[in-house]
Amino acid sequence: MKTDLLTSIGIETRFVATPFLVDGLETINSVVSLNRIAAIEGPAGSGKTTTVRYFRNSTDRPCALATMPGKPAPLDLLRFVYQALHGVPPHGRMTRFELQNELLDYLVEWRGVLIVDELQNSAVASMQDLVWLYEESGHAFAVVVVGTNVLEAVSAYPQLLSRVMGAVSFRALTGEALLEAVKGLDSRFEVTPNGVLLTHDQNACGGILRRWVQTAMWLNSAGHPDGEPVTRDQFSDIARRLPTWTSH
Amino acid sequence: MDITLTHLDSTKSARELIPNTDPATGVTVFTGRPGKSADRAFATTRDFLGGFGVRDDIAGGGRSVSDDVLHIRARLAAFETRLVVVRHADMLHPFGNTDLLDILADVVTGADARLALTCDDVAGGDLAGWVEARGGRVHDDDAEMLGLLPSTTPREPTGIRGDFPASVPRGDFYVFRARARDLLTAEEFAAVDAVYLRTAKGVLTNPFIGEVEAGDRLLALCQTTENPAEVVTMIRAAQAAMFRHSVLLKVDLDHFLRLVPHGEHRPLSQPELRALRAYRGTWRPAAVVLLDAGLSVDAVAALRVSEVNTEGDIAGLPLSVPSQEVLRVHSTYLGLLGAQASDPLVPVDPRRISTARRDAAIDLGIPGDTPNRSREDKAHDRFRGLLGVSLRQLDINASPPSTDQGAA
Repeated sequence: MKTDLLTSIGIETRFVATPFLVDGLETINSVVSLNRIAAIEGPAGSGKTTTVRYFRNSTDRPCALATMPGKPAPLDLLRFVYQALHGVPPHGRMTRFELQNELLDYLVEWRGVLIVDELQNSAVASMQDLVWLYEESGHAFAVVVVGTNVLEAVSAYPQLLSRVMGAVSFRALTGEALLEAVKGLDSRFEVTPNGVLLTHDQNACGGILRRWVQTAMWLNSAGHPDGEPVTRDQFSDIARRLPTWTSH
Repeated sequence: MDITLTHLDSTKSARELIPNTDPATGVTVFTGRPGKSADRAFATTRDFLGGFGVRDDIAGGGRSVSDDVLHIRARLAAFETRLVVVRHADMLHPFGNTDLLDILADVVTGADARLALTCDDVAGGDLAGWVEARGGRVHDDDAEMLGLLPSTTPREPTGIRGDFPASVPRGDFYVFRARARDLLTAEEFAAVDAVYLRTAKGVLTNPFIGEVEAGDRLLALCQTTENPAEVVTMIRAAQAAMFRHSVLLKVDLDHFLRLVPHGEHRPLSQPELRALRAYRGTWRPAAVVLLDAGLSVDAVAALRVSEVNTEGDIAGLPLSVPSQEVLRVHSTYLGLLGAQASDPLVPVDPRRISTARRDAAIDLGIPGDTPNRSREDKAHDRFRGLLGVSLRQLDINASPPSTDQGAA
């Protein structure tokens, strides 16, 4: 894995291909090749966004990633998609009608992959906009919708749910898959006994890789050398600093 | 009231199942669009007009929904529309609000056309209730509705040969070849240069001996092609070759291009006349078709509403089917506005009539009128008689006057 690709997708440790990431990439590639809609859902920190960023940076097709805010305004989906496509925000006075027309003209010719992250925050009206763009362009582009419980959110608008051709639900890692992923993440975890790792996972990480990445960063800040195993006491100290984990 | 709701397979693209149609077939299609209720009426009338080919991004778009409705009614009547199909009609029915659908139904059925709403098979519950309350029918099988759609017509060929580019740089003869080399692809330049060299060699070995002969020979050359870019190439090559003989060959390019079937200054073809549907306003396309039919600006300004019959014809004026269609839409619209038989057919200032075709050329990319055609063309006009060709012997011993910036 090239360092610049890792940096570009926001990875600060070694890249680990978890079973969900592999499944997610396979699903996205298949769905996108047919210009259909894919959905990636799962708890925060489980690797959804990393997966779509990896896809974006490794595919030959043009990609635009629009990340929806926590409480989107009515036109935010159109505005964020516009900004993702053009690199600049739309003119402040553009109406919904104008935004729709401008995006449609562009998307018909663009023929890329539109990724909408955190779509679960959006209202039904925004999903209508997304379906309208997709349908009016004659399926000229592919869509990947991403977010925690995004399928449940999309079910509020059956016209979008029925168009989702493939979906992958990311979950917290457990057992062998968890140990393999954690050991692949950092050389210090690689030499740490499994029991110690599983205890720290139970206390602080809950099978979520983002927590393990944060653990590795705490070790870095403490100057823990590469290739040295991590002790229970060191993990306890880090667990004390990490916020209490609540599983979704 | 003839209203139907048809459920379509949501796994297929509605545009694929129900493609856009030529409104002249009597079938018009548009898509419901999401939006706030305040915007939705405006967006819907625009999309409905879009089904008739109207574009929102050119002159005369306006912002009035009530005027849009008049334009829709004029087109429904002029095209004798029998079926209006709405894709994703559930988007016109937000949160149970039926105001927009009620207006749409009144406009369409008021023109004796059928309103065929469609939506995904996973949606449209409330919409079905509205349709049934209006005495309409709900179909789960799309075969009946899809059977009413016209078959897709193939695009008309352009008639331009494929081995020569459609356009070439418009630089003067002394920069033409260099610009062509810089701006065209290698394949395009090879095609252009072959014609250029062949023409130049012909003129080098057999130079023009007078203006009339030059005009005749250039005319004969230009009539060997239908591509205006090839005409430009041959003329530039001839000019370069004459320059080698110390003769400046001046040519009015537009005169020659007017003689080329696919040139820039010629009567509009039927697809180009149909492109005039893009205007929402009706007077400008009407003025363009009347000017294109050979009427002068003054004659267009003098026409009265009563002179257009219900077929869109004007006595003594040969008009093509798309031109008749333009005039039918225009006269129907004037009728809806309450125009009288004695009112002017194109009720705008004659200066705006005179610029209508040029505006259309800019807006729609269709050929414009020749820029230097006079109101009263005279056959004995020297400039026209010689096709804008002149020959001037250059004095090779004379130096151009110098200035601070170089040669003048």
